[in-house]
Amino acid sequence: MLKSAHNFLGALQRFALPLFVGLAIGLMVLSRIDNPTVVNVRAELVDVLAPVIDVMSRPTAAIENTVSQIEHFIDVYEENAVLRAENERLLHWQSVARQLDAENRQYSALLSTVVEPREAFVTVRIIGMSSGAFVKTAIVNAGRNDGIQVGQAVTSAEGILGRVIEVGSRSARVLLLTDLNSRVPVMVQQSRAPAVLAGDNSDVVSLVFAADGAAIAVGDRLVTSGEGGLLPPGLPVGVVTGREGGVWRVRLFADPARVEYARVLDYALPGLLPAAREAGAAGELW
Amino acid sequence: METAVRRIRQALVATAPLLSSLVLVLLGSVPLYAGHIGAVMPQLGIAAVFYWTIYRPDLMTYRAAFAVGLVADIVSGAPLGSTALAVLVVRRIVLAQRRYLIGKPFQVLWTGFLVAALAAAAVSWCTASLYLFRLIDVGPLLVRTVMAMVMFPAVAWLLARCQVMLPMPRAITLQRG
Repeated sequence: MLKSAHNFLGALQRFALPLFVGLAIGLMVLSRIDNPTVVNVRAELVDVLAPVIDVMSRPTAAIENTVSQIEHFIDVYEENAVLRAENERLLHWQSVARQLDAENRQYSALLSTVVEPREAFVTVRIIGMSSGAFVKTAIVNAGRNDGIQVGQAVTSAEGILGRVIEVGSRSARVLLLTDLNSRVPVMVQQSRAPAVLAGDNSDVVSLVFAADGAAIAVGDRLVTSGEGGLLPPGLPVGVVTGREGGVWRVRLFADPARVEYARVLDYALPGLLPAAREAGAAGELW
Repeated sequence: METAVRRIRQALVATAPLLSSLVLVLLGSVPLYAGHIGAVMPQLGIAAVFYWTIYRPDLMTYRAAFAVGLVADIVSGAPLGSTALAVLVVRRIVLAQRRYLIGKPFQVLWTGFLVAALAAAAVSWCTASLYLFRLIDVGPLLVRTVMAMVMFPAVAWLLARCQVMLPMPRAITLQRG
């Protein structure tokens, strides 16, 4: 009995390399076909590791906070002058916005416009970041227990970061806009020209499916179009920086590598929701 | 009592390479909240497997290396098995070359790591290109390899401190034949 066990372990030792290489390739194939068991097991394992990563990320956050505080302290005089000027400009914009808001309400009432649903949100902390050859994703410290669901948009103060693709009970994985698999329906804020924003695992993203001769120009601001019903329309995305090889390049407003706290939006579009969520989970709408 | 303490100590020694590698994998996935430096963070697990395969191949087995790679895949969101495959290749290469690396000046070790990291990057590039059905950009992978080179001295120093705390390998090597 003992001898046969020993023989078995010896054989295992001898064939360890081909065995584990085979196992690795098998797991990759299962990941490729989006095997639900693999997806679930991974989400649960991230859940187990999330508290550890959370604790590990605290010191880096503290160091980064201290460094930025020192930087702010050094720049306080110039920053104050800049902020005063900006405040004056913004006060002017505030009065313009109030006036436009009042006008908008009046016109909406006259036309009996359907009111857009307002989104609820959960504030989360980004505790993990990966930038390998395969994916650009982040891990956040909230999951199913906090109401996070697959397909929800994740934004920072500057703009949209990505969307939730995997949910555990207390952690979730976010597919960043720069990921190869990320496709987000957007439009030019001024001309309303629609396009799809696609990542390619590099730091720049590009516009695909933009109509020929569409009203897009360098410097145009892009916002989410809300097509497909998964994302709220009007979230700031980025700015068009140029055209390379017939493709418009975009610089994103939000840099996920700098963000510590983000919001996960629950955009509830009545009626459309369940079907849209399922399609989103399967990656068809994206 | 004494045997219990010795057993616990032995268990700690036996798992130290695996645990230290896993800690490095998790540390490597922590965001730095500082912009582009964070975006090119290398896979520190490969450096750990490289180090332990040279100095304690009896404790950094294929099974342990596979576990390190698998945890890296789970945390990073990469396809399960992809980093594990790269790490297995690193262990195989280092195992064949360790007698040229062991006991040599640090520069030799560093150069050896460059070769291992490039091999890992090549494996990652091949598997990613096959997996995604397109030739992926080599640039980010090379930047990450350079970052891994830059960070290797710090990683090696940390692991060397960890290794000093372990008893000499003789007893365990003999036990495992």
